[in-house]
Amino acid sequence: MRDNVPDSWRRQSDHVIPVSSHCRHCRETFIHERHACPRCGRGTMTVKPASTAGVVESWTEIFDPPEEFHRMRPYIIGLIRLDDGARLSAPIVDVESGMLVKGMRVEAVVRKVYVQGQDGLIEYGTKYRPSMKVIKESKPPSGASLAKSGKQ
Amino acid sequence: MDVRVAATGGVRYGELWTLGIGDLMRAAAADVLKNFDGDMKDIDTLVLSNCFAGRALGIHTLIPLAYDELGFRGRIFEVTGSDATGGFAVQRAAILIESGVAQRVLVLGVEKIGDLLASQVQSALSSLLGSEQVFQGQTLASDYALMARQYMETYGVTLRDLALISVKNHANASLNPMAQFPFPLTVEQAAESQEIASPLRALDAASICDGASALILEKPGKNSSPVSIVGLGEGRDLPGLHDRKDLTSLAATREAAQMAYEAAGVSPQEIDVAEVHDVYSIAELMAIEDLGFARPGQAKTWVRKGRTALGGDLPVNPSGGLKACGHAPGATGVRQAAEIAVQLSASAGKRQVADASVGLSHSVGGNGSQCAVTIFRTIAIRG
Ligand SMILES: [Zn+2]
Repeated sequence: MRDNVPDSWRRQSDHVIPVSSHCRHCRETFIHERHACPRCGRGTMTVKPASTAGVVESWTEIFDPPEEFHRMRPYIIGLIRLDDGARLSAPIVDVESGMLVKGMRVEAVVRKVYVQGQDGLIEYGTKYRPSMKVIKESKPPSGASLAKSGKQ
Repeated sequence: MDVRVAATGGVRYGELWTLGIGDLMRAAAADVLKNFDGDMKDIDTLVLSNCFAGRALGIHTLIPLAYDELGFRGRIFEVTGSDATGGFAVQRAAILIESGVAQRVLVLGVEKIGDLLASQVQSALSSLLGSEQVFQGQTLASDYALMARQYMETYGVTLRDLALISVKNHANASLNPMAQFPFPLTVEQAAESQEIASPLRALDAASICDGASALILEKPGKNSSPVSIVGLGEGRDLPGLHDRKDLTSLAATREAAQMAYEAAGVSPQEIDVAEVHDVYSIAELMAIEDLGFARPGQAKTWVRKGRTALGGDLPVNPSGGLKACGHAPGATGVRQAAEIAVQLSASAGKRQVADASVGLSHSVGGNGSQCAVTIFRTIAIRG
């Protein structure tokens, strides 16, 4: 439904190197580049690289995904508060949902999000994984094995 | 505002394999005209309401189709507003009449989405969220799941409480011959159904299906129906949940409700019957509070005590709601308005709310990024 190379290209930078926008009026920080403050609507925004770590505030595990994500099911979407104060929602990987707790520290990793069709573009994006190895023995899989397995 | 509901109609929602979108439009139009004292020539304006024809059928405007299928030769408007479109379409029609532009308007909501695979329907629903959320595979269910988790933790609500909403709506639907699922459900069935996005379960969710609903609205006149639209409200919010301060409430609903109550000169306590947007069970719980019926955190008590059931002090979703009538995204808001009009004209049969004279319909788009609240009341016929 969304195989669109120019659109992926335009959005790629924010997907792999996320930025935050700080409103100089509200003194609140929001994920992504914002031209209008989500709170006050003003254009008083300063854009800077987003923090690469934060804490888990909440999460849900999706068992009934859109068709583009069917082979990844189930996967976790978390609400994460970055250290710069911005809150975002993003996939949490390398951990089972049963191991998640509120306040768990997570860090950003670039992972494959989606492959456009059979021979199409592979889109990457930022996901978050636990900063410390709270999980069993498992080591985060390497990029190479990811590409083969097609897992997140 | 005083805009009368002259007639209501529509088809029973469901997986309507044999009907295309043109068939659905014609069927709903024929049904509403059957209940109307007049014919298509008496209608000067058509307001079309749809959500997913572009995505599901590749038809990006229904106006040529309506012109062709219905033989309608008046003014045609098309309204868009996510899966709250129907609510906004009813409001647009009321505004056209109130402003004097139109005399009599046919509001026609239609959705033909059942030809998509289930996972494609999930993709379509996700498309109602922000583009970054779509990119990451977030879904409408996952957004409501995050709201449910926050709400449940904040107010001590359990899966059984959520299940009570679906159980109540199925009980109401069993009295509604137009409901997709007119059969009862038990708390166990709902609470133990398959997880779709934790903590939400399959039976917390409305089924996304085909359907069409219609209303005829007109200026008040000598022989008008006593059911009047008296107040409109709309509200909006940021598309990303992570940007919102409070996940236990929909700000768009609060904003729309306040505007509608003010416009109508009605307080929440005066509402006798409400059709609310229970796209997931948690959404009905939040609506009960955001519409001002119960204080924050108190909706659970209302639901546990049956105060929102038929026969309770404020019946919510007497039709069975989105959960049990089915949710045809572009048509649902029209169906909700039609249900309130039917209730206020005391013609709802077995599901009739006793002595209902003030009603409210509530339609939410996507994860609460937009909302339409409409208030109806019966106006005493002058002698
Ligand atoms: Zn600001």
